[in-house]
Amino acid sequence: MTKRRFIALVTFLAGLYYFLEFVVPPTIPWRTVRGEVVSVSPQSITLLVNGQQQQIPVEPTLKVYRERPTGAPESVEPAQLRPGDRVSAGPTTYLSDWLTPVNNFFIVLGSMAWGMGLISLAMVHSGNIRRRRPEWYGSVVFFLAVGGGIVAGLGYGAEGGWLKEANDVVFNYLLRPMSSTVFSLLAFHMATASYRAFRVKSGEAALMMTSAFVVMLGQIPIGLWLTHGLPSFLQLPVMAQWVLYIANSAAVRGMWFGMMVGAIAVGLRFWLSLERGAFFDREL
Amino acid sequence: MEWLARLQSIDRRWIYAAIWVACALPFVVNIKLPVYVSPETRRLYEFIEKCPPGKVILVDSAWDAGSQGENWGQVEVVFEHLLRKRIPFIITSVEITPLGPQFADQVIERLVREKFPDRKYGVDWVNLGYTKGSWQAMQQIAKDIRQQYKKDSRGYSLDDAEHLPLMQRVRNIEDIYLIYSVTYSPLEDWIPFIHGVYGTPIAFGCAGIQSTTYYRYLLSGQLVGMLVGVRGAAEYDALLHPNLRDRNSMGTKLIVPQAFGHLVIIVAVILGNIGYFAARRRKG
Repeated sequence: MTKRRFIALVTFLAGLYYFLEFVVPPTIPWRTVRGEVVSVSPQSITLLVNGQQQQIPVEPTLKVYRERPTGAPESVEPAQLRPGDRVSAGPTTYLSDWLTPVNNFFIVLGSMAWGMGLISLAMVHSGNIRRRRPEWYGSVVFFLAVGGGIVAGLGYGAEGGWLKEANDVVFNYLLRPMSSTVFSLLAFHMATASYRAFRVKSGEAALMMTSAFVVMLGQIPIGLWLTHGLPSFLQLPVMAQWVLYIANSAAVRGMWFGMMVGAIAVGLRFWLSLERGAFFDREL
Repeated sequence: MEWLARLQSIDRRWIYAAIWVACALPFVVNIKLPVYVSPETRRLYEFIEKCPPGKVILVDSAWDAGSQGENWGQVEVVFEHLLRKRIPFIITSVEITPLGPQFADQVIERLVREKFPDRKYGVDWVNLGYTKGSWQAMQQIAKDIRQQYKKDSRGYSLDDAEHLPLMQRVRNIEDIYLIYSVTYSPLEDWIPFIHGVYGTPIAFGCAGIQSTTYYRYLLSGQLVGMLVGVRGAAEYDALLHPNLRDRNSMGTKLIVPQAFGHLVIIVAVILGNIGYFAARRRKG
């Protein structure tokens, strides 16, 4: 129970940080001054605010944001300011100061998940080998592949030598054709699946097939060749564009709106540790 | 009618064979087909054409062998455009695959060897390599690229003016004119975390099947352009090389097998439906 509460607390605090960082301004609003830089000294910044000069003392808690043409302000040190810069300056609310370390923490955490995946796989496969489970030799291949991949990976960027050759063999002559082969099988499966499943059994199916043919032919040069003599709005590529831009976008927007409303609800449940499933009900 | 009804149960091996012949034939017989240039491709091309001096383009090349059929051509044509116009570019590979930088290197090496032998690494382009952390990494690249990348993929420090003169004038998102993310399914986080905050234009290169979910961003102006599958690459090549004989990019080569493959699928679906209706009529 203690572990579970601890995990719920850490989850809540992590989510709370990003939520607060998003809604709380980086400087205290009622003590923030916006204006144009007149001069800068190590002790103070002089700003032109509503036609009047105002001195801002440089203190450890002072945060200065320079306005940029693209809109989002850039955090700068007072010494980097130049006369004419448009800035806002005020005491920090601390949250935004921690954004980089917190981001780094989550990036490192994400990287560790890869390592954990590798450890988990290693445990499963070493168990297979020790207990001589059926097809245990596949697990030996797993260890050989991981070891070979790590060694070959060291050759990336090398100018020459056996490490570079190992990198070429593993990534260019093995992994690349194998990945392409697996992906290219999709073409064969899609062809037979559409042949077997695509039957005009209703008006909706007829509409779907018509739009599929228009988009498929519109995506390839043959569609242009077949209809190039017709008025432009009847040419297949133009009709395909209409289907993709108008009909498709309307449907996708509707779908995504629904999905995102659901995602907000699920996100809130995760954040507040209300999500209950087979895994979450178990004592950790 | 009996033989017509049998059209709905053609042995799937015949369809496999037809797809195989349709996709393999263009590699035996040299065929080039003219293409219709879609608005999303043209908008990306024209946007890059207007890149002002002093700005760089960030290419997030996060694809590998699995999707190279579609993504290789998409980066090849844009790299060619950038190298031709001498627009400097930075390559990253955020989150999706650690193999992304290797593939980008291969595409550029070939272009430099065959078409632009005077272009130099560190001056015309820099490959920063792979980084973990999706939107957190994007946020940090935008705020200060050195927070996320200390070194490039070859191990040079980003502050090494001798090897990476290009990086000496790139600090943060202010220096980036466009982010072009190419992968099977580009991370939508580029839109809320970069375009939404800084207004930096974003463009995608994606697999054809994934493109349907991104068209809505073209309509809303959150994407300045998009290359869709092999078609997008072939169309971009057509803009780069108005004369059909000058086109030799991966996209132009692969649009032909794709066109024949689409035709086989369409013919198979039509045959299946003829068989279906014949069988229904026979049953009365």
